[in-house]
Amino acid sequence: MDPTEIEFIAEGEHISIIPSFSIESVIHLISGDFGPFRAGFPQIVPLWLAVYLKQRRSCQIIQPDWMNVELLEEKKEEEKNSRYFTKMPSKHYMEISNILLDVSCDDIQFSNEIRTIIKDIWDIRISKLRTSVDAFIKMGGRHAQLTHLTQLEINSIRPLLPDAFNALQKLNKRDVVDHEDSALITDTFSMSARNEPSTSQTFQQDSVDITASLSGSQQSGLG
Amino acid sequence: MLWEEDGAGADDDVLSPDELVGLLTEGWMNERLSPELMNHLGEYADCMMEQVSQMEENLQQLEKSDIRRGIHRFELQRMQFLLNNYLRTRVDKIEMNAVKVLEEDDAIGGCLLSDGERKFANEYVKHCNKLLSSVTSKIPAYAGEFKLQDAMLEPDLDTPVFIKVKKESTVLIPDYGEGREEEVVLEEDTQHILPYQCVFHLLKNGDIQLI
Repeated sequence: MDPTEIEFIAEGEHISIIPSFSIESVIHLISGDFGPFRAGFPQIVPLWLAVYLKQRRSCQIIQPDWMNVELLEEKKEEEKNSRYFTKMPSKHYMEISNILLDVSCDDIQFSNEIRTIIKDIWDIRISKLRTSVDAFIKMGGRHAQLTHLTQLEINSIRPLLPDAFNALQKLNKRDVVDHEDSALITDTFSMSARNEPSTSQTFQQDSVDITASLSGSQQSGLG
Repeated sequence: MLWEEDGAGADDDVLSPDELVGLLTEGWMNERLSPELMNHLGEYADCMMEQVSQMEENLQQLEKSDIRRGIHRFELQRMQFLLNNYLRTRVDKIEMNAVKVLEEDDAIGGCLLSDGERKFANEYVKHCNKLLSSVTSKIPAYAGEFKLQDAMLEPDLDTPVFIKVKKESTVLIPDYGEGREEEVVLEEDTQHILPYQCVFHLLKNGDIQLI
């Protein structure tokens, strides 16, 4: 998926704003009812709406609770010290902070610090992710749990991991097919050997080993 | 949860508009991320289109200076994007293997494709065949027997996908290296990476979601 598509999804998250206009009636949007808006009173809206209003200077965006320096510093330490991925304060932390720092920098306190910490957290997590992906592929695993990874983080390894994985699987599979094929041939031969009249049995039995080893070597040669 | 209502004749009145948005968003993500074509969400897409056009009509009544007009317009554009992207993704997938998609659609009673998509797939196959035969008729021997089916791309069902579990379930994951199966419990609200073919049945139930 394109990162902008994930941003599109993140824009559906809710956020508080303080409008500078008043609309007494509730606005019936397709994605839900919002309002009534009273100037100066906080109201919850989807992020895209907050951005829209902010760009028209009709509201002030309230900094989300998790977007404060101390909490994020703590998170960063936790992330650094943990072997696993820790739970992020928001499942779209990167996208939301990016959008907010972009459009409403003046509403965010300590915006520069927050930008740096978020980037640090992102870097720590991505490098951790790359290390785990490396270990995962070397281990030849088929399944891994990735709880607490956010969508954007998963998306960042998507172009790489599945392809590497598929290539590995293909190689592994070819190996197995080789083994199974030779085993199958041995089986059918010994079966037919048992069904054959006793006169030719010894002859058949002899040929089995040869064919099996032959087919084995042929297959590996082909592979 | 929402999927069960679907089975009972897809009663549009049961879904509220915001549930519809959630459902389409999820369907769109699943469609974007799964290697094969998913069952169509035709009624929901139609329902959304209806909502959008109805909203557009209502907007005519609002004055140009009204801030609500801009807000609604903005949301409509978001919905249009969602719908267009969803439908376009499906069309791309249909083009990739139109022959097999049509066969599969027949086999499961037409819930893979919506009416419009079926028409599109049929036309697509027809035109491709026409093009192919105009070329292959001039080529002698072996190449002349080339079939459209051979030119289609098969989806790789073994490819790993990232999932989020909505309802606890257990899956078996084959291990090619050692030829045995590993049992994995998918707990609710956890995320995993797994081969697609191990979990596609759960995806179709709506027990998991692709991310």
